Amino acid sequence: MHRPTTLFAVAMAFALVASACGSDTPTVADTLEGTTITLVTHDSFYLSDGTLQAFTDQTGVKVELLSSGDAGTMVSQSVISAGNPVGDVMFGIDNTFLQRGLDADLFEPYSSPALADVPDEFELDAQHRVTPIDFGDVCVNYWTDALTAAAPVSLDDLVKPDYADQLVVENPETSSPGFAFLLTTIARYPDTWPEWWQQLRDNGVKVATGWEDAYYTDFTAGGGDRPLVVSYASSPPAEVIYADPPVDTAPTGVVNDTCFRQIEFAGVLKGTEHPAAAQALIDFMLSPTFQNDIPLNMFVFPVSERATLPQVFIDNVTIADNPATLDPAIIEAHRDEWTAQWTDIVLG
Amino acid sequence: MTRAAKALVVVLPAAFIAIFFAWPVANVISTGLADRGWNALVDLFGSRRERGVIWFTIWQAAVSTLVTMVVALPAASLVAAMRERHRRLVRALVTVPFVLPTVVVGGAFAGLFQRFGLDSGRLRLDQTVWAILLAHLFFNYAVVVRTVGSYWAGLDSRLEEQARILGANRWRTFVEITLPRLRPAIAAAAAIVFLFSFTSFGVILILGGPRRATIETDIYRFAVTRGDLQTAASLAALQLVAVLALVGLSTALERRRPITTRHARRASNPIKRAWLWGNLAVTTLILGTPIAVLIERSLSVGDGYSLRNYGALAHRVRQLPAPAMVALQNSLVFAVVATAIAVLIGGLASLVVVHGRRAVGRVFDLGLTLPLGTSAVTIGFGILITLDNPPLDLRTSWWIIPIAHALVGVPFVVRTMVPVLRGIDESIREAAAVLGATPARVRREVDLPIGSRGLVVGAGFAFAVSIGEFGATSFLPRRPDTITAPVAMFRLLSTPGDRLRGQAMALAVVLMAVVAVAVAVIESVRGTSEGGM
Amino acid sequence: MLSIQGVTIGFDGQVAVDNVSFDVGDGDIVVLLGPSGCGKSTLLRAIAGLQPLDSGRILRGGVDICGRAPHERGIGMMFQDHALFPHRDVGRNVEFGLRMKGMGAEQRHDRVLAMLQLVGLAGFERRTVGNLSGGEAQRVALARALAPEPDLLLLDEPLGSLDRELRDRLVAELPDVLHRVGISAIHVTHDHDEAFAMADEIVVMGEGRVLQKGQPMDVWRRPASETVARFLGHRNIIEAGGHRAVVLPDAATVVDPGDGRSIDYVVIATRFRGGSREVEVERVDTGQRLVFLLAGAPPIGDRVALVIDPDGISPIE
Repeated sequence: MHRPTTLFAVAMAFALVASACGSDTPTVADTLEGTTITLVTHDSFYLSDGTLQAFTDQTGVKVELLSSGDAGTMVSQSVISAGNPVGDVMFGIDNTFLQRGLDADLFEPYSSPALADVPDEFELDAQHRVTPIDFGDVCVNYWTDALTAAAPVSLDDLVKPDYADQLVVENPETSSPGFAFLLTTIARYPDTWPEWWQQLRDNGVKVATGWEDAYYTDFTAGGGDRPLVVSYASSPPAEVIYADPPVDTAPTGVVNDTCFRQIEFAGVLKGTEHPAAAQALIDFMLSPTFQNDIPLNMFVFPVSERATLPQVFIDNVTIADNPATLDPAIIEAHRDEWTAQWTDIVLG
Repeated sequence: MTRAAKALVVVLPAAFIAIFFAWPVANVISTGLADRGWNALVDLFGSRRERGVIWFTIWQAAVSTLVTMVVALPAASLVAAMRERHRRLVRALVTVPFVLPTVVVGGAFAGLFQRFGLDSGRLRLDQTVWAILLAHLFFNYAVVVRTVGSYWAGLDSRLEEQARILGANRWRTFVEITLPRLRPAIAAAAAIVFLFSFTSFGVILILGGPRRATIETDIYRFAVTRGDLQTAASLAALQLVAVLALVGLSTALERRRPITTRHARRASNPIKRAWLWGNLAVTTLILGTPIAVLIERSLSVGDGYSLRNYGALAHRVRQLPAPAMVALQNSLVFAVVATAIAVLIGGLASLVVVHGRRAVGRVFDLGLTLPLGTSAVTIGFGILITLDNPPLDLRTSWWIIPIAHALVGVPFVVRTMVPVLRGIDESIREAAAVLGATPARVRREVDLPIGSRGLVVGAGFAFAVSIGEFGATSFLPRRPDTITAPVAMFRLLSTPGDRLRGQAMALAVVLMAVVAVAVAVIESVRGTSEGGM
Repeated sequence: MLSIQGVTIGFDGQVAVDNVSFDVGDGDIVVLLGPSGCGKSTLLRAIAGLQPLDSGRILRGGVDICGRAPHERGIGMMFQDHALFPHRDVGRNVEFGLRMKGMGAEQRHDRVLAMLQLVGLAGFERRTVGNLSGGEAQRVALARALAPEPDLLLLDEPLGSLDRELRDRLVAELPDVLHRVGISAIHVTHDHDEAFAMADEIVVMGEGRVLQKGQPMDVWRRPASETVARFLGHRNIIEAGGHRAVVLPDAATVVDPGDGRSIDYVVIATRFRGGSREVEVERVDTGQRLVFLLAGAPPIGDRVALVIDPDGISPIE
C-alpha cells in the first residue's frame, strides 16, 4: 500500500500523525485521546506558544514538559533512573552524549515514517532508538570590527601570529561547545591535534569555563578584548534579533572550517506506559509545525528537508558544507582520554 | 502537650532529614559504589590529581572562612551597636548577594577586574584563587554580619565596660571579653561559611578559571560530563565524611563551656565616627561595587541608559516559558513555602538539639547541617533514584523544589537558633516551671519567643537561600512553568544578544530588591509570638 | 506545712546537702543562713523541684512531693537574679503564673494590677523589664512569684544584688508583705543582719549540714559552735578554763573604776555603727581583746572599767 509522496506529505501536514496514515489501526486520535505524556528535555528547549497545543489538538495527547539542566545533566539523570524514567520521551540528547544513552539502554526503538524527509547523514543509530530532530554547528565566531587582520578561514589560521591573544575557547571538561570544538580539531587532525593545541596555547588562547563567560566576558560582545570565540553558527542571527539598538546585519561572522556538527535526537524512553503517544510525539517533532519553530527558538537548524528557515537565518547564516563529525561511539570511548590530554596540553 | 505532640517534635525533623536527605544520599552513594565498594575511595586517594583537589577544596574553604571572618567581624560589631530598627535594615541589605546566581556575580566581578585592569599583569585577579576568595567574601559576608551581629547585640555590654574600667584597651577588651562570649555565634557562622565555600560551584569554575577544581566541581565533572558515577559517588562519600568531621568539630566548639548571656539592657555606645565610616567603606567596596556593576548593566541599553530592560521583564521572550516576572513570582512562592518548612523543621530541631537527650541532640545537630555541605548533584541524583516510587514519587512533584530549598535553609535556622537558645539563662526556664509551666509550655513560652530572635534571622537566611538556589533546582527535573528567577537568568544569558543580557541583569536587580524587602519584612515579625495579657 | 526530712543531694560525688531536716510552720519565714557554697541554694532548688534528691523526703501537708515536677508543686520562687522574662513586659511577667493556672483574662488583669499595687509598682505593667532598676526588678519578681497565690514562697538571695539602702528597706518590707499575704517562706541568705531582720526561724547551714536551728534570738545568744558564732558575726570568742565561750557584744556595762566586779580595759579602737558605738578594748592584765557596744564614747587610749553580765557569756563546743 504505497502512496505518492505528495499525498503522504499532505496527510502529514494535516493529520501530523504519520503512523496513522494508511495503517490498519482505526485513528490514532481515538485511542490516544486523553493521555498525557511527559517530554524530558534540557533547559534550552524552547518553542513558540501553541506549538505543542497543535499536537494536542490533533492527537488528543497532552504534553507536559520536564526540563533539567543541560544536555549532560539530562542524560546523566536519565541514566541513573533508567528503567523507571520520569517521562515518556526525551528530547535533546546530542551526538556527543548519544552513546552514553544508548549504552544505558534508555530508548525503545522507533522508526518514524517522517524520517523519509530527513537526510541520511543525520541518522546515527541504525536501530532507530533515537530520531534526529535538529542540528547545530559549534564554530569559531569573530567580531568583524574588532579584528585587526582579515577574518580567519581555517583552523590553521588560528595559530598564526595575526590572531595571537585573540581567541577564547571553553573548557571541554565543563562546556559542551568547548568539547565540540575539541572534537573539531580531533576530526580535522586525527593524529596531530595535540600539536595544534600546543601551538594555539603558544599563540595566547584563553580558556573560559563556560560559554556564558567566554561570550559575555572575554569576547568583544560582552566588552571583552578578544574578537574570536568558540560559539554557534547561529550566534550571528541571534545578535541581529536581540540587538539593542536594532541592526540589519550581524556584527559577527562564523569560520566555517572550524565547525563541529551537533545533532540533537529524540527517543521514546524505555519504561513508558504510553508508547503510542510517545511515538506520535516523535512524529510530530519531525512535522513542519515543529521543525519550522526550531530555528528562532532554539537557534539550531531543523533536520527535515520540508522545513523552511526564517529570513534572518537565511541572511546571516551559511550552513557549513563540510562540518567536522565523529562517531558517537568513538566520542564516548575517548572522551576522558581526550579531555585529559587537552587539559595537560592547554592548562598544564 | 500530649505524648504524641512531644514525639512529633523529634519525629518531624528526623523524618524530614531521613526521607529527603539521608536516604537519597546514602542510596546514591551506595549505588555508585556498588561495584567496587570502598576500594573506589582508596583509588581516589591514590590519584595525585584527586589528592590535590581534596587539599585545594579544604584549603580554599578554610582561607575563605578566615578572610570572611576577619573582614566581616568589624561590621558585625557595628551592627550589634546599632538600634534594632537600623540593625534590621542592615541585616536585610547584606542578604542581597545571597540571591545572585554565581554566573551573574562572576560576570560582575570579571567586568570589575577588566575595568580596573586586574584581569592581567602583576595584579591579576581574574582566574586566580584571589578571585575565589573575594567572591566567597562577597557571598558570605552576610552570614557573619547577620549571625554574629545579632548574637552580639544580645550580649550584656556591661562586661566590656567593666573591662575598660579595669584598664583594658578596646582591643584587649574585644579579645579577652567579647570574643570568648561570641564564640558560639562565631563557630556557627564559620561553619556555614566554610560549608558554603567547601561546596561552592560556580565561583570556583567561573572565577577560579579552568585549572581549579574542588571536590564539588569534580563530583559534577565525573557524574555529568564523564558519566563516571563510581568516581562521583566516591567523591560524594568523601565530601560527606569531610563535612561530618568539620561539623562535628564546630558543634563541639559551639557547645564547649556554654556561656550564658544575660539579655540585659545595652548602653547605647556612641559609635566612633572613623570606625563607622571605615566599615561602611569596606562593606560598600565588597558588596557595593559588584552590585553597582549589575545595576549599571541593567540600565544600560544600546544607546545610553533607560528602564527598558525592566519593562521587558513583563514580556515573554523565547528563551523563557513565561515572562521573567512569572519566574520571579515562582521564586517568591517557593521561597515562602521553603522558609515555612525550614522554620518548622529547624525550630523543632533546635529545641531537640538544646533540650533533647544529648546523643539525640548531637545527631540532629550534625545531620541537619550536612545538606549545606553536600553537593547539589548528590542530593538531586539521590532524590531522583530514591523518591521514585509511589507514594513517594516526588521526582517531578512541585513540592520537591521547596523541599530541596528547605534542606539548605534548615541548617541556617538551626545554626542561628541554637546559640540563642543555649544563651538563655536557665533560671528563666526554671522560673517559668516554678510558676506552673509544664516542660512543653516552657519551650513555648520561653524558648520559642526568646529563640525567635535567632529564628527570624534563620528564616531570613532560608528565604534568601531559597530565592537564590540554583544548583539543586537545576538538578531536579522541573516543569517549565515552575521556572525560578535564577534559572531564568541563566537561560537569558545562554543566548547571545544585548537585550537578553540586559533583561537578565534587570531581573537580578529586581530579585535583589525583592529579597531585601522580604527579609526586612520577615525579620520585623519577631515578638508577635508573645502571649497577650 | 513543710517538712524537710533527711535530705541529701550530691554533685559528681561531692555531697552538697547532707542529711538536712527542718520544718516550716504555717505563715512562718524560715531563713536558711550560711556562707556561699554551703548547699542552701541547692536545698531550695530541691524544694522547688528543680533538683532531684539522693535521699530524704520533702513533705507538704504530710504528703511527699518529691515525685512532682516543679510546675506541679504550686510553690513560688524568687531567683537570685530575678530571672524576669526578658521578652515580656512587667505586666506579662506578673501574669505568667496566672495564665499557667488557666485564669481568665479579666481576672488576670485585675490580679496583675493588684500585685503591682502590693509591691508599690502601680502603673508599671507596660514597662519592658530591661529598663527596670534593680529594686524594681526585684519587686516585679516578688509580684510575679506571689501572683498565683502559692502557700510557700522560696527566696534565693533575691536581695544580694541590691544597694544597701534599698536592701534595708526591702528587708523591712518583705516580711511585712509576706505576713500580709499570709504565706510561708524560706529565705536563703548569707547575710546575718538580713537573716535576723526577717526570720521567724533560722536554720544555719555549713558544708551541707544544719549547724543550728531555732528562734533568731536564741541562735544569736546561744550559738552552737564556733563556726556558727563566727558566721553570725560574733567576734568575742574567748577561752576560759579549757572551755570556749562567746561573749555577746551587749554583755558589758561601763562602771566606775574600783567597782569590785569590774575589770580594767584600755580602749584601742572605736567604730561608729548606726547609732551605737562599737568599741574594741584590750584587757589590761591579759591583753585579751573584745568588742562591745558601749554607751557613751570613751576616747581611744582611755582606761575603762567594765562589768560583764554572765548571761552574756555563752559556752560553745
